[in-house]
Amino acid sequence: MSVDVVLQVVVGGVLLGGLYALVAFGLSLIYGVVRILNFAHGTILAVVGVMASVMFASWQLSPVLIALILVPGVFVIGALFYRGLLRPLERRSPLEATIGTVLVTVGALLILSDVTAVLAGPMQRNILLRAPVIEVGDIIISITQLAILAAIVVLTLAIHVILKTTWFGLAVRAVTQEPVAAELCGARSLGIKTLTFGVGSATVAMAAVLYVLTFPVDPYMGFGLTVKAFTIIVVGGIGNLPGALIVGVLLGVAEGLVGLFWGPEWSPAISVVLLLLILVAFPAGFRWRRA
Amino acid sequence: MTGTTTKRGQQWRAARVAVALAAVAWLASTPADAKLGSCTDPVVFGTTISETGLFSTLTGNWRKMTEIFADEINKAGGIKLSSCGDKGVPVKFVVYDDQSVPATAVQLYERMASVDQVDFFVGPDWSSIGGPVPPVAERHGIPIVMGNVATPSLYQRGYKWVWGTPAPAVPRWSERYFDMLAHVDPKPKTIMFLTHDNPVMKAITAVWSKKAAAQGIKVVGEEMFSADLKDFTALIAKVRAAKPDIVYISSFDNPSVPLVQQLRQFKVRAMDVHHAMLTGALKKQVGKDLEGMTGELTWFPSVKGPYADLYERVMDRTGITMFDSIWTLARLNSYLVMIQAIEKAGAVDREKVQKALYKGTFKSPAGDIVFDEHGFPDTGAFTIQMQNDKVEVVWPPDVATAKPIWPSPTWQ
Amino acid sequence: MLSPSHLPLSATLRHDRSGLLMRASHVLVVVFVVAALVFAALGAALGDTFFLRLATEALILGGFALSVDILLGYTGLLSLGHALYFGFGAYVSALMLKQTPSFWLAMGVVLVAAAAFGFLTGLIANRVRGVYFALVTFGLAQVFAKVVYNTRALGASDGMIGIPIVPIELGVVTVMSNAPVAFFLFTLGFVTMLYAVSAYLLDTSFGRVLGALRANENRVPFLGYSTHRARLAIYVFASVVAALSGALYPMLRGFVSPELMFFAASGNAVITVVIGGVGTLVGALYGSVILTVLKSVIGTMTEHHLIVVGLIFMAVVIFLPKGLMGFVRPRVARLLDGGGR
Repeated sequence: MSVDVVLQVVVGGVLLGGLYALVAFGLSLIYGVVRILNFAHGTILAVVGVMASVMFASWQLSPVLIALILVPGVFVIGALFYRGLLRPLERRSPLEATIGTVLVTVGALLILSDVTAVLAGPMQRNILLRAPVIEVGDIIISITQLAILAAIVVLTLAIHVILKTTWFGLAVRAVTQEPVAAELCGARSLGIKTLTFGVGSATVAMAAVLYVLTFPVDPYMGFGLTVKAFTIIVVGGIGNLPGALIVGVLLGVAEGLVGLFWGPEWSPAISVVLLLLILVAFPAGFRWRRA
Repeated sequence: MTGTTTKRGQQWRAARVAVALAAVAWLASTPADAKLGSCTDPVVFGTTISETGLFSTLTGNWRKMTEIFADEINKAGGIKLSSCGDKGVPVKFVVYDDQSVPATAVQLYERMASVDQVDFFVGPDWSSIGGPVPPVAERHGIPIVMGNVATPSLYQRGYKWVWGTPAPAVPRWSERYFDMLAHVDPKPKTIMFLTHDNPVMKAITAVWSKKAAAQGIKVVGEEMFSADLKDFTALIAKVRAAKPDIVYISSFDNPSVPLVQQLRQFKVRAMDVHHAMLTGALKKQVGKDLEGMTGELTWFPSVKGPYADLYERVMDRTGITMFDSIWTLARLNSYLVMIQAIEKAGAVDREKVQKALYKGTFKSPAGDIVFDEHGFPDTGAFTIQMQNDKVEVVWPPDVATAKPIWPSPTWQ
Repeated sequence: MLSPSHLPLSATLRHDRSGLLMRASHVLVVVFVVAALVFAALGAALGDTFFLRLATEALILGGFALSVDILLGYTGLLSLGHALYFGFGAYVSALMLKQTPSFWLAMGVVLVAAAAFGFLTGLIANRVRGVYFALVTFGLAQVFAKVVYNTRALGASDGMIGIPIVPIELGVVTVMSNAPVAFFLFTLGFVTMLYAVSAYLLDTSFGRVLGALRANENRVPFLGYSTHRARLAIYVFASVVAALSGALYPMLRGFVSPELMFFAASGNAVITVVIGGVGTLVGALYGSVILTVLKSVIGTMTEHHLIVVGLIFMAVVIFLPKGLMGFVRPRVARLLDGGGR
């Protein structure tokens, strides 16, 4: 196996892994602050991706414009979803609340996927921009891929800066680390949780637009992505964005290398196996805390 | 137990009995459409379509198509029965969605046998459903002609009531393509198979990799991928390293969308890239990337076989083409074969129809369907190539609509 | 977190109350069985097969849901991959029956194999808690389903067909698995037996430890019990109940397919329990009947049944958080209590 082949696979893996990391950021924020595992998280990417590709196909809008339309929409819907359906469940006993949130988010997943499939068709779609490619030896990188990589880096930095410097970021970090103390210090939990749910969902919407620029999406692919994102935050640490980015990229590269050296039919399975191994090896370090 | 409980229990019981009675009333009131042997009641065909779930991308508009098919048959006078003095009897369909799930399909065929009381079964597709459904037909003694159930072994279980019309059948899938490969210049010397991790596609690769080797084309690689793979970089890197003359993609149309796109993006070079399911659905998703690729088509309107007009009208009115979904032919054939078998039998009589089907030969627009003693047909396909954004039949030459462009210019 | 309900005195009171609720469950099971018998009699009188076999399937899935309720309702463990054991039972039973169509041999092998399999996978699953437990069980089921899906010897994605008709010798009578009425009655008896064994087990001191686990896990070790062992034991028991229910599936339908292990099957069982009422045991049986009827009716009426099912499912969580039996059972218990005094 030549070095070129391996390098080509690594480049592809970094790109896919960066997108996984963006999805994981949103999940990490939400899980860190709200303590709800949103099973429909990856489905947001699937649905927004389908919508973006339909908008592109029907009106030839530029992807940037599509993102400007969809991302705020998803922010509002995410916030409303939390306030309308999940927030009322938090008043129940911890067990009932857990069951309730799991079932409501799984129900949302089913409905979102099916409605999308009925309206837009169940097939895969994406936005194909035939951009020129750069050839370095035997390695091929398209301009689109470079643009996506750049966007991932910019978005990661932006999220990082927001979390480090703004009041919202401070509150998010405080609630993630010490929910009770944060509340005592005046971080109003309902407002922050709602805002976080919206921001977390909007992050996925951004990832979705980038994702459909290279890879196809279909209405039913969301749950696999949720599992991948969860693997990433379990390994990288909840609320730890640099960690999530590193683990996301590693997961993307690992999927590529498994495909190269073992067989592509096993690539999608490794995140599940990895999740199992990590949870089995370090159960205590990742014990679930009640909010 | 105390008096209160017993009383409460009785109330509950009374309520439950009422519900059960209501259920039974519903059961009893279901109209028995079918009166076997009648000359006035419609002949009722029961079928399921995978309208949701895994296979739903392959069955677009089939419910509507089925209704239009019945309408066309009835407009032309229905099914002609000698036992009714050659009077036509109308045909009617009971259609359910099997959700692509075998358990649901089995439940629905049992329902159609005993609740809806259909006369005959037609049409279920896919090997996973074609496995468990035939025993239902056997148990009730109802003849079934299945659609796209292409695995030969499923027929070799000693069934008495089971037939199928898969088109093409796995052992004859790419027959004409490989015939074409033997006649083109320059001759391809190497081939690589990229297989979707699915039993039918694996069976196709197994058959045709052997055939390729026998024909003197060296197999330089076989790779498998699962339906949810999005990043094909690793697989394509292997293709680029192996440099095959022919890339043979053995996959359902939908999972191979990113593969085709990324083959283009990574500028893979070959004499030809062949897709075992080059369909309109694939074209809708990848567009121009399909240009120059070859594939199989089960039937196309310029082949004027028997019933070609009927099929054209049905598909026109439904708004679909054979290229949209290559599975449509086998689906329609299963209906058509059953109608011919009833006409041969001359009566709406399950046993007579069974006799008519056994080792029978039936007409179809793509040529005769000949059943072996297991109820498995003998149907091939035509080789097509995408030329200037249009589907052209390029092999065999006697029915071709255009000459093959060889080597395919888009992969240079 | 201390709350008054964890003090010894109120704990005994709670037990009285839970004993009463359990009796209410038993009454509701009797009602269920009587209704089922009436249904069977009517079915037999009308010569029906479809509805009887559909009802048999509902009972089998009810047995499966029962096992999910044992975990969820009594230990607070939400498994999103419990179909693994249902499917495991179905596949082992199918493999055995294809060798020798002996009912008792097949059930015996399923019992032993499922206990061993549940123990090994339980060791993995029980290392984690809460949402992580849900994820690990989901992952385990996913991995095994993928293996079955790709294993030619197990029929791969096509599943296994051609499972023979099985005679079930019950001493006096022999039930054939293809006789609609007889097999329905047999399944009814079998599932009722599963219910009785579960209810008995959960009423022993072992069951109380589990209840304590759900209430406050950290305090249980101070009472001298190993939380880990108790949880593992209940996990194995729930696996066996699921597998025994699954073992009946190929006898009814004549085939098994990998879908039996998929997330949809696990999810369905959880929905069944939530609709029926978490922690009531009997709710699993009622829930299964409701869900089967609902799916059959909606499935034949509209193409968009999944959306309808998804909506019903969210509505239940929001408006009927304790499920049907969570609503009915306390009322029955109050009647029992009033009668007892």
